[in-house]
Amino acid sequence: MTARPPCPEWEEQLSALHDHGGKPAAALEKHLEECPACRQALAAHKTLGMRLRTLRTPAVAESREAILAELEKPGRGRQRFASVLIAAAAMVLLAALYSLLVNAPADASGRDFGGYFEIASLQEQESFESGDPSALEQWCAEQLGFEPRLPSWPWADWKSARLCSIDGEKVAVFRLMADGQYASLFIHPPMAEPPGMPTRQQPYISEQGGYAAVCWQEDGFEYILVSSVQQAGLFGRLAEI
Amino acid sequence: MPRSTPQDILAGQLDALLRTAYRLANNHEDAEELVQETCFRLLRKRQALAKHPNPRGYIFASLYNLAKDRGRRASSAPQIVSLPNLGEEYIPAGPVKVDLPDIVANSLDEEVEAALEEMGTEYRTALLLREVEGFSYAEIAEALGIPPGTVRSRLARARSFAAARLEEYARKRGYLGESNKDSADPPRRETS
Repeated sequence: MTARPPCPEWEEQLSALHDHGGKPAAALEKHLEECPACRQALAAHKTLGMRLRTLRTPAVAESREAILAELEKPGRGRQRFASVLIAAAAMVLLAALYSLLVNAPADASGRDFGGYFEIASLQEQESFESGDPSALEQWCAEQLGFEPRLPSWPWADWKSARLCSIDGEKVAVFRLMADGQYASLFIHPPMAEPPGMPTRQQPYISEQGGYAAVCWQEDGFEYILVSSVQQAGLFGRLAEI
Repeated sequence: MPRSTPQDILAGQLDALLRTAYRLANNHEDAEELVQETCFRLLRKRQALAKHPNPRGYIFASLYNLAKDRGRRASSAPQIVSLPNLGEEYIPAGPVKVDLPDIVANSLDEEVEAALEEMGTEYRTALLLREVEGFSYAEIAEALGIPPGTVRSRLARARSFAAARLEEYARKRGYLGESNKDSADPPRRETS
């Protein structure tokens, strides 16, 4: 027995009939009476379904148990906060480098910048320029559906806001100038606070490739400030807050 | 009735996550990592998970997006594919069990796996979520980030393609005659 493909105009309806069962629509029922290929296709769907359900998938019991054990720990997820922040910090370091690249002199355009293109999507994101922190917050609220609250830093000269995506999450990025140098502040959406977690943590500082990031939580938001390591004063200001 | 915690919801989907992750990643190690990372990410968004009207779709959307991100990053790197160790413990993919000698079952599995491999990830995932995990169209739509109408067409194309491929394998093995060689092109990523 050989099978012909089902009639293209009935292909979706046959598939839906297989999924939902029941009595086919009158037109399809009539067609099935007349079309052996479609009848055979319907039977083939059932066979395929059975073969897929009996397909043996390697499973790693140890892995399942380990994941379950992790899930059962109260507050799990936040315990990986530092490593997640390190990953996020790595991304924002690239972002900072990218930001330098787009502002780089024309003679740098021919150089090989390796993996920095990964964040080139930042360039496509909308941005909004304003020196008024309230206006920047408002713009982000309209774009993101939540309102990131900018810190009240008297020494910060706010420049612009834009959006980017880190690990699939929308993040607000604010450019600011402090002590004569630019820095970027990334703010994550608010997340649930598991019981027992402090509302504020000591800043976590990492340094890599001539840049530094400081990360902390406040009011349910996650903040990551990225700047040049030369700006020790900037991070010193944060540590004092 | 007390509400399920996010941990409970995730634990209830763990086997399905591992099965689907394996089909997305094609090797054990990456599948484990994908599921672990998915769980950790979802626990960071526990409030959203607990309140989501379609939690299963939401969980698998997280897995699918993570796999896609990793796939994009790895697309320029050599692909490492490890073959299943037949001595290892297996999770039965679904409630149906077929009592066949191992060698026959393995051979049949290879054919289905080859057909799955040939179709695009978005088709393969839709088909497996429907047939193996019993997802509704709405859940698949949420998981893959596509409209329910697209789920319907994607499933139809995936099934037609798989049926054609399985017939082709059967013909090669001499189970079928050579008279009909109609086959489908692999359904690939839709461009929009």
